[in-house]
Amino acid sequence: MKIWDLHIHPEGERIPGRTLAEKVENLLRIADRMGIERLGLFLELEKYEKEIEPLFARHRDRLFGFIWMTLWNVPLADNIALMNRWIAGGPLIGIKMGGYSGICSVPAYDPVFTHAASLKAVIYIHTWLKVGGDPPHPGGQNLPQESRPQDVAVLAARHPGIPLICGHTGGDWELGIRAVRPHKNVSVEIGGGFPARGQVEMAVRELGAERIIYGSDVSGRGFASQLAKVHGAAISEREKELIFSGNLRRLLAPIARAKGLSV
Amino acid sequence: MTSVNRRGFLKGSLAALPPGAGAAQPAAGIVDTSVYLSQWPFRRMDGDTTPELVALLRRHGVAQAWTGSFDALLHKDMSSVNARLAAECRRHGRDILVPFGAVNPVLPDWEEDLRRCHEELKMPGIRVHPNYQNYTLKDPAFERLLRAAAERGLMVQIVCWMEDERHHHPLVRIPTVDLGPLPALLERVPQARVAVANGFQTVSGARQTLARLGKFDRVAVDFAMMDALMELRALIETTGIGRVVFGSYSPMFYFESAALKMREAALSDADTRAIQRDNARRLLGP
Repeated sequence: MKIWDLHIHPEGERIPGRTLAEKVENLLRIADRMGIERLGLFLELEKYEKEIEPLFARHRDRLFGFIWMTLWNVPLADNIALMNRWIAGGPLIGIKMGGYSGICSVPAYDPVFTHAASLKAVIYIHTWLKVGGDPPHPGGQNLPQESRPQDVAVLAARHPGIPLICGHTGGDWELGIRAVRPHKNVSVEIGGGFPARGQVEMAVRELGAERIIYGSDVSGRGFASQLAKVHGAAISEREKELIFSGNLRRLLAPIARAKGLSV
Repeated sequence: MTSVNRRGFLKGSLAALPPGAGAAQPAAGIVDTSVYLSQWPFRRMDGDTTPELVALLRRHGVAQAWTGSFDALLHKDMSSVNARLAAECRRHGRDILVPFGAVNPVLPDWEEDLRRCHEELKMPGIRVHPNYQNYTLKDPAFERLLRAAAERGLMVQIVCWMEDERHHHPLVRIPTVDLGPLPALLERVPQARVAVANGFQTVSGARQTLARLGKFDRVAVDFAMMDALMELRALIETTGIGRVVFGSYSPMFYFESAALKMREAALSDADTRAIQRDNARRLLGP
C-alpha cells in the first residue's frame, strides 16, 4: 500500500543531522522502515533558504514541500511574493498555516488563499480545539492566533471552490469532524494527536474516506502512532489506500502536472 | 501461560505489526501490560466488549494482558467493579486476561478491597488512578496502600493519564499524575513492585524522574502514551532496557501504535524480547 505522509517537520533534536539535508536523509531512512514512500515537509523558509532547491532536486520522487506561512503579522504582498518565488517559481507545492499563523477565517487574509488556489497550491491549515477558559469550553485555551476547525468551515463556506485541509482534524476530532462536515471542499488530516481508537472510523462514517488524509506531525509525534490510526482502523483496505495516499495524490495532481512531477 | 521458544516469540513480534506493514504471522508471546475492560465513560469504541477485545489481543499475538476496568475511574463501589472484572476475565479470557483490581485509598475501608483482590479474586496486582480519585502520590494514604500491597506481594500499577487533557469534557478535567514523589516512596517501601502506565509523553519532559526510576529493578514503565519520533529509543537510553514493558492501552489506543513503535525504534531481537515479554514477566513474578 502506497503511503505518503503529508505532515513532517524536518527539524528538532530528535532527528539526527546538522543540516536540513542530513535530517531529511535520516527521516527517509526511518520512513523506509515504516513503509512510507513520500514525505511532505513543512518548511520555515528563513532557516533553510539555500538548502531547499538542491534538496528537492535530489529527492524529486520522495519529497514535496510547503511554505510555512504567517498571516497576521506579514504584509499580504510579502506572502504573495513568497508563493510566487517558491511555488510558482520554485520547487514547493503548497502553503501551511501553523498554530501561531493567524485565524484563517479573517476576510483580510482571503487574497492569500485565492492566490494559492490560482497557483493550484495545496492549502493546509493547522486547527485545534483546546478546552479551557471560564467557563471551560472547547477552544477556550487556544493560542491567540490559532485557527479552530470552525474557522476553516467559515473560510470554506466563503470559497467553496478552493480545496482546504483542516489540520489535525481539529485536535478534538469528535468536534472537528462535525465542524467541517457540511463543507465538501474540506478534507481532514489525521496527524498530531494520540492514536485514540475511533478517530478514523468516525471520519470515514461522517465525511467519507475521500476527505481524509494521513499525516504524522513528525518529529513532535512519531510515525508509529499516526500510521496506527489507519492500519488499526476498522475500515476497508480501499478506504485505507485513499487515506494513506490516494486523496493526497488527487489534491496534488493539478500542481504536480503543472510542474512536471509524478504523483 | 504457554511457554514460547525463540522462534515462536519472533513470530509473535511480527504478528504485532499490521497487515501491509510487515508479514502477519500467527503465534504469540507478548505480555501487554495495559488493557482495559468495560466502557470508556465518554465514547464507545471497537473492542469495548470483552470478547471483541480478547479477539483483538489474540490477533496481535498477545499471550497475557494485564487488565483493569474503565469502571474504576468514576465508580465508588470498587468491590463490585473488581468482582465484575475478575468474572469477565474468567468468562472470556481465562488464559489471557490477568485482572488488576482497583483500590482507592481515600475511600473508607479500602483495606477490604485490597484483601478481596488478593485473597478472594487471586489477583497478582492492583491498578490505581490517583488523578481520577482525587489524591496525589504525596498523600499519606497512597504510601499506606503501597505498603499494604507490598506486604501482600501485590504489584501496584499506577496509571497517570487517560486522554489528551486538551480534549477533556469541559466539566470533567482531570490533571495528569505527578510521578515526582515516586522515587522517594520506593526508597521508603523497598518491597514495593510498581509499573507505571501512561506516565510520560516525552523523555525530555521527565528525564530526571525517568532516570531516578531506572535505578529501581522493581519498577517498569510502558510507552503507550509516549509519542515523538523514536521516543521509545530515548526511553530505553534513559531508564535502561530492563525497565521498559509493552503496553498497548487497548482498546483506547489502536494496538498497532505500540507495535509500530517497536519497529520505528529498530530494536535488536534481544531488546524486543525483553520489552514484549521478559521484563513484564520478571516484574510480575511467578
